[in-house]
Amino acid sequence: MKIASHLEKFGRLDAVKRRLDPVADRELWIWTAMNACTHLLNAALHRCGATEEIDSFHSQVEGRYAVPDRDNGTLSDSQHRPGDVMHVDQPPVGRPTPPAVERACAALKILEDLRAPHVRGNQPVPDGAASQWELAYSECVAKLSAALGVSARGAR
Amino acid sequence: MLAGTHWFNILLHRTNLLPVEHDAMHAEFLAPDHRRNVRASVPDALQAIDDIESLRTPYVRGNMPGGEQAAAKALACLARLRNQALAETNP
Repeated sequence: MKIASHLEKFGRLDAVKRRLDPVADRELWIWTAMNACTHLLNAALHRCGATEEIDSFHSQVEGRYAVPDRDNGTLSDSQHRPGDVMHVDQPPVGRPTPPAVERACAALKILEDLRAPHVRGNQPVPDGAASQWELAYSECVAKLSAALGVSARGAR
Repeated sequence: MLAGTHWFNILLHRTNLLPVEHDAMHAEFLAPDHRRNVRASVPDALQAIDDIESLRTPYVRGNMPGGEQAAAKALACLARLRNQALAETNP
């Protein structure tokens, strides 16, 4: 998607996440945090030139995109180079990225890896874990905001 | 989608289409033979979860217009999944 569209998505998802408790609402907190950061990551990857700012949406199949026809409201499948990523390294970017984006990806990966135990599965949340999740989210947002040249507040 | 997938897995377990040791992550990625079995046994539930998953690309990852209608459709599909899972749980 376009950078502006990713930032708009991030802002809306971030606002929803703020209404959630990371323990009581952990499934939705993790999912929302991950998707918010993925939109911000895509904006940053487009901005630094690692991926292309294309009006297409990543599908559930790695490397396959849906391209909208804005005039008639339809979508068509397309296989093209990134474009948006679905998750960290999915699809691989294949171009160097700034250190801040690399650190953001490491933080986002922490959130992505919470899905198996806590969204799909029912592992209890260890004491103190939620604060680490919050930290990973804040780190990811801060690094990507810096890469985008906006304040974290500005990204929202 | 998250809730619908859990209802879908409850239904698959209750109908012995999938052992409790294994959950389906995404209905579209069920093995072809298994997916055919699921379609033959619980076609409406499979359609409902497929419909929910199909909304993710245009409305979660993408920004197609009509998000409110998509959300309403997702809720209707979720209700179908819930009803079928509960009906199988409490015949």
